[in-house]
Amino acid sequence: MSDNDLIIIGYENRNVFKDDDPFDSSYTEKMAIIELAEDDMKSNDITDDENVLVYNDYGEVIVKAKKIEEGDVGIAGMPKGPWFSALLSDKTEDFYRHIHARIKKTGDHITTIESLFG
Amino acid sequence: MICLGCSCLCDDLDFKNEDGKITVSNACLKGFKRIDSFNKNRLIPSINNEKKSIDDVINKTIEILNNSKKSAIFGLESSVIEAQNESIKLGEKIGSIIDNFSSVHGGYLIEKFLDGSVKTCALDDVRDNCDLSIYWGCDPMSTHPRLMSKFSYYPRGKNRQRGWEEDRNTISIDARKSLTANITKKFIKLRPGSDFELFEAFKDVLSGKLPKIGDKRLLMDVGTSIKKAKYGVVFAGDGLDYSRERVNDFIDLINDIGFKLQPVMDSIGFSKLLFDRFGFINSINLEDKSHSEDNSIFNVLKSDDIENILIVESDIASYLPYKIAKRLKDINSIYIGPHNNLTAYLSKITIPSSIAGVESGGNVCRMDLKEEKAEKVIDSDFLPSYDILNKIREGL
Repeated sequence: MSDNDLIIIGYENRNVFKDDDPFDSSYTEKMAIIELAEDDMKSNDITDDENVLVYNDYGEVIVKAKKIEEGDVGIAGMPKGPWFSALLSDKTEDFYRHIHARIKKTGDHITTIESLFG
Repeated sequence: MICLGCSCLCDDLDFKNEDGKITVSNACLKGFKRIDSFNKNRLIPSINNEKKSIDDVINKTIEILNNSKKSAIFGLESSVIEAQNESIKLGEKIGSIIDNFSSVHGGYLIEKFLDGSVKTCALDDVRDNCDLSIYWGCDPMSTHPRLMSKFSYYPRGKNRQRGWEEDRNTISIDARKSLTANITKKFIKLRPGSDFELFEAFKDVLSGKLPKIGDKRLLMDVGTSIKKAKYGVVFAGDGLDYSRERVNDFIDLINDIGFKLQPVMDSIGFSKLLFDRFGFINSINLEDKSHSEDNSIFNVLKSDDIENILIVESDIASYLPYKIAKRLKDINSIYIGPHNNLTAYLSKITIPSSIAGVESGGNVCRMDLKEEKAEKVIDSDFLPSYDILNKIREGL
């Protein structure tokens, strides 16, 4: 782990349902996000709703940044789902550890499910 | 009507279908969405993304299973008990592995919940008696939206007539301020993965010592509430995954404080069925009834010798590391379920089924192991998953 890494906590998004169509744009809007503390957004020159590349040794995705109230510096949140899973280790011993990842502002589009799994 | 939206199995829903116009009362949004999904995002029968008849996809599945040496069956945590039993019969016939979501998240807690390591409780008793509920690593307001309003916090209970205002205390323990943490009376924010340090801190507090970590005042205050509680319940979720190696310490703590455990998870019912039959909750080889972590979906999909996997009503692909989930495209993966999802998208064969508890009935198991009977409320041409599994087994 590097000092610049964020710890990413996965959570269940209560506005996403088992029967939702994962290829609907509203699903992407709700799931392809990363919640960041205000100070982490400032230090990475990111503003609310900007696209960010989230990357680590296991994968990378582009998602939308969302400012979270009362967020802790160095700790981010992502809804459990395809974009979060792209950053998970496929080694059992690391799967049950928190995800560490870095972020970078980008002008590129949000990663699609088709591009992740195609 | 019984709602199968989550393992709360709320039994007070009022369903009306007047000339095709459907109204549902008392459901949370999650429950309503499940019922309302009968005409949305439905799965179609397909082989390699090509639309086929339901008979074609069932026959193709039979052909694959007949010619396979190593198969696995996964899921069923959202299924009725009839489908769970059918999957075991099918698995025994083909000598497959059988596994469910608990092998990926929360199984270590469910095992303790089922094997008598810790006291458990009925949710109806929680409603009548609980005066302190602790939500540790779980967010029922998001995952089981009516748990707190129907059982643990807001309702008037037989012995808790002054409800949440005076009779009930609530504490949330989590690494992020969840929706649940927003409404509980106290919130302990943990550094990610530091649950074990909090177990130790609580032990110190309860034995009259000052805690070594955290907000000492808050922990002392919580310790006092725990000591005073007459009927305490710890609701635990997969936020404890990161401390799963210390699950025995967690169970010891619950026993030491005289509380009861209720995992807030949906895979408890099928885990219990497997536990009662085979002595294990997941990752079972039905050929010799043995258990091994090698039989978990995580490891099965990583192995080279798996030839096919039958997944029933579980979008596991959305939760596995994507490199492992992508393996579904390399093998003969068959998905049975009512709706299109990522697992169906990655599967070679898709078999649509009815929505259990909406378009077909069956018996279901609540998170506290109480069994309920769900009835169908809407007519449908879709087959129930247990009929599909039965047809496959009969055809082998």
